[in-house]
Amino acid sequence: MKSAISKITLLVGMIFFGMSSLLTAQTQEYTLDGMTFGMPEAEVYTEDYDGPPVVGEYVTQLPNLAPLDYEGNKHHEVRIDIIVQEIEVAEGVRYQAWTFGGTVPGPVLHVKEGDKITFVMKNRSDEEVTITDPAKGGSPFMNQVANNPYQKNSAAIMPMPHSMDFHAGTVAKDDKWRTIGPGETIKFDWVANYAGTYIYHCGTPSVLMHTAMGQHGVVVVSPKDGYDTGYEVDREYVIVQSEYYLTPGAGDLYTYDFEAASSNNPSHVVFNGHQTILHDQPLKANAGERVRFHVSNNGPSGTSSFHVIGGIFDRVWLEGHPSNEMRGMQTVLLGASGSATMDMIVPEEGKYILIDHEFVDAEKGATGTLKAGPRKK
Amino acid sequence: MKSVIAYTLVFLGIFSMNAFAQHRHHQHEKEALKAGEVHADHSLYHLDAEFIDHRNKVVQLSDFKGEPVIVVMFYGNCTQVCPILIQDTWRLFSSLDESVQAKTKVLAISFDTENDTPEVLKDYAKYEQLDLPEWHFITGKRTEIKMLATMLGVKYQQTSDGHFAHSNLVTVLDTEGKVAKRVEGLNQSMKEASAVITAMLKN
Amino acid sequence: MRSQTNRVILALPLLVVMTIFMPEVASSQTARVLVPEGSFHSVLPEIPGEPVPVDSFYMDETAVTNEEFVKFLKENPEWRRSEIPPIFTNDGYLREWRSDLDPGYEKLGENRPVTRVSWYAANAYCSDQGGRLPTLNQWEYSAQLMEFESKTEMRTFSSELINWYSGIDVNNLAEVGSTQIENTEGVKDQFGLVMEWVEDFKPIIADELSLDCGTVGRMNTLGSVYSYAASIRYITRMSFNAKITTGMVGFRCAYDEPAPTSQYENGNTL
Ligand SMILES: [Cu+2]
Repeated sequence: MKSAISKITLLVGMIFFGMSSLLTAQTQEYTLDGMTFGMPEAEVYTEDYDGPPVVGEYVTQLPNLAPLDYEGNKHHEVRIDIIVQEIEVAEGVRYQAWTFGGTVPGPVLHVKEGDKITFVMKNRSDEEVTITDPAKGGSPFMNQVANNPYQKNSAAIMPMPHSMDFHAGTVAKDDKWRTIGPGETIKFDWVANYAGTYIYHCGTPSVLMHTAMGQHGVVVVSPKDGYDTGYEVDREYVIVQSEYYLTPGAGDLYTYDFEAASSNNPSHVVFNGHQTILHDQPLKANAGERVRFHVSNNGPSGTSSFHVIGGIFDRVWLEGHPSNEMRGMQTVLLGASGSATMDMIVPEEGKYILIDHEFVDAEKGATGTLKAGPRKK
Repeated sequence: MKSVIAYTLVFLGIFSMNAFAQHRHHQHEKEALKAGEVHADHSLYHLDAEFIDHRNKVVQLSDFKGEPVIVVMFYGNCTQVCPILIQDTWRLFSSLDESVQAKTKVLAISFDTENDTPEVLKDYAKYEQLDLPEWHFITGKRTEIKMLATMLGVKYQQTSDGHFAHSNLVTVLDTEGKVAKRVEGLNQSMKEASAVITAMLKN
Repeated sequence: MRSQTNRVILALPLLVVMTIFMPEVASSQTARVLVPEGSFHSVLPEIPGEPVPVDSFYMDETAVTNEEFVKFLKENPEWRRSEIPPIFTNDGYLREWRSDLDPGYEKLGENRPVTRVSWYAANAYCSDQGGRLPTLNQWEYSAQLMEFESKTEMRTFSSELINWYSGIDVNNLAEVGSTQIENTEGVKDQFGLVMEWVEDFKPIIADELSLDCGTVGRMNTLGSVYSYAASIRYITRMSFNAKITTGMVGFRCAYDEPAPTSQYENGNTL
C-alpha cells in the first residue's frame, strides 16, 4: 500500500482547488414576481442539418409581425442559423453580410410575455445557403423573403465564430450567449419574461464588427394582457434602424470600414436594412386607422430620434413595456439597442415620412414612407 | 486506506471555504469536457503514436485494446496538484478488486516532454510507490502528447516559471479505447469510475 | 516531498533519451526561417503591459500548400479524407477537394494554402515534418516583427488588417508568398492570407476571458498597430475547437532545429 503523499501537499492542493463537482454552476428553474428564471445549460454540438435556416411559426420578414393566434403561453421552437449573404443595402452597394437567417436585420420573432423559446442556431458561415427559394418546413420568413428578396440576396461564405445574444432573454451570457465555431450548433432555452421589443445580436468580439456586419434583429414580446388602450389597432409594423459602415472594396463589393465604424461615421443609416426599401415598398394604412409601430434602434453605435412627418404618436410605450406609457410624442429618442412601441392615428389620405430626425442620419438613408389611402369607415 | 478517509474528512471541513474557487474551477472543467467531447465510435486508439514508458518500453495506445485503461495526465515537477491527481488515480485503481486490478492498465502520461524522461518517470514511479506492473508512466513526442491531451480534453499550458497550468482529469477508457468515464477535479469520489471498470470486465 | 535538486540531476540523461524522439528527416522541405529570440506584447491580459519573452525557433517561410499536403497524405493514408476518423475532424475536412489525393488544382491551386484541415491534421502534418505547430506566442511574436516607414503606413496597415477579418474570400485565396506582407526575418503572409492553427490555439486563459462588447477594447489597451486586429484574431482562434475545419484556417509548422540540410536560414531559399 502506498501512502507517500504528504498531508501538507494534500491540504495545499485542497485549498487551491477544492472539490469542484459538488457544486454546479447551473441554477434550477424558479419563479420570482411571476417570471421564470434558471434555464438548463446550453448544448453545443454538431449536426447534419441542411434545411431551411429559419424555422418557427411566428418568425417573419421585416416589417411584418406574425399574429399571435394562441391563448395563454406557448413553448416555441425556433431556429435562426447564421449564414453569409451578399446583399444590397442601397442601390449599387452590395457587401457580404454576416447574418442571422440571411437578411439584415435578421427575422422578426414574435412571442408573448411568459412564452418559453427553445432556440437552435447553427453557424453555417462556411456553407453556401440560398434563402430565396421557397423552403418547406421553414417559417413565414422564408416564404416572405422568397417572394420579396429586397436585399437581392445571394449565398456566400465567410467562416467566422459567432454567437447569439437575445436582449429579450434573462440568462447567464457565458452559457447561453456562447460563441460557436463554423459548423457548430448551439441550443438553449429562454423565457420572454418582459414585454417589449428587444434587439438580438451577435456578441462575439469585436461586437462592433459583428453587428455592423449585419448580425442583429428583433424579438417582439407582446404583453400577455395587451396594451391597456380600449381599442384595437388596425395594423402593426416592425421597423429597425441600423447603420452600415461600408467602403468600396477591391472588386465590385463594398467591405466593412473599421475607421468609419470606430469614428461613428456610418456610410448608410437605414430602416429595415436597405436605404430605400420603405420608399420602394411603403408601409400601407388608411386614413382614420390606428397604426402600431414597433421601432428598434439596433445601432450598433448611433441613436435615433424617430419621428413621423405629419403625425404625432398618440401613445408610446418606451421599450414596448405596457407600464411605460407616454402620450402625444412628436419624436421618440432611441439609444443604441433601445426601442419603443408607438401608436399613431393616420390623419388623412396621403404620404407620411418616417424619419430619424437627426438629419445627418436621415440624409444617409434613415427615412421611409407610410402611404395612407382614403378613410374606409 | 485509513489515511485516505481521514484526508477526505479534512477536505470536507474546508470545503465551504472553497465555494468561490470551486465555481471558477468548475467552469474550467466544463470547457475541458466540451473540448474532449466524445462519440460512440471515437476510439482514442486511432492515435497511431509511439510513446515510451518508465521502463523504456515503446507503447502504443492500441496495445491496451481489450483492457480497461485509466488515463491521467500530469508532470513530474508539479509538487502541489499532481501528487493529488496521482493519488486520486491510485484511489481508483486500489478500489478495484485484485482480479480486476490485474486486468486494468494505468497510463500516467506526462505533458512535460522536456523534463520527464523515462528515467525521471522511473524515479517518480518509485517515489510514489507505483512502479507496479499495471502502471505505465509515459512520455513521448511533444506533438503526440498534445494530440492525446486534446482528445482527452486535458488542457495544459507552460507558464513562464517552467510549471504547467493544467486540467485535473482522470479518464477511464473502455476495452475499445472509448472514453467511458471522466472524473474531473481533485479528490473526487471514484465510486462510479470503479463500478464502470468492474462492469466492463463482467461483460 | 522530494527535493528539487533530485529533479535536476534526474533530468540530466534527458538528451540521450530524447534522441529516441528525434524527428525523421522529411523528404521535401519548405524554407525554414530562423526567428531570433525577443519579446512582444500579447493582447491576452496575463501580465498586462509586460512583454512576453520568446526563445528563438524556426518556422516555415510560408503556409503549407495544397500540393505539400497531398505529399503528406500520400505517405500518411490515415489522414486522407476517406480515412480520417471522426475523432480528428468534423465532416468538412478537405471538403472542396475532388478526391482523397486530388485537390482539383484548377480550382484550388497547387500553391494556395491548404485549408479545411483540423488542428489534429495540422499537428500530425508538422509532426511528420519533424516539427510541430508554432505556439501561440511564437506565431504572434513572429507576425509582429514588422517594420513600418511611417505612422501613416502603420495606420493604414492596421485598418487593412482589421478589415481583412470581415472580408476573407475563402473561395479565391491567393498563393502563399504573394501577400507582400513579410516580417523582418522573411516569414511571409502571417497576415492577409488565411488564419493559421497554433499549438495552443485555445490558451487556458480563454476560459477566464469574458467575450462581450468591451473585450476588444480591454485587450487593446496598448493600442499598437497590431492589437485591435490581434484581439479579433485571438478571439476567433480561441472560439475554434480542434476538430473544426474552415476555409479560412490553414497552418505552417515550427521547429526547434534548422532544416536537416541547414541551408535555409534567414529566408535564404537558395
Ligand atoms: Cu458574429
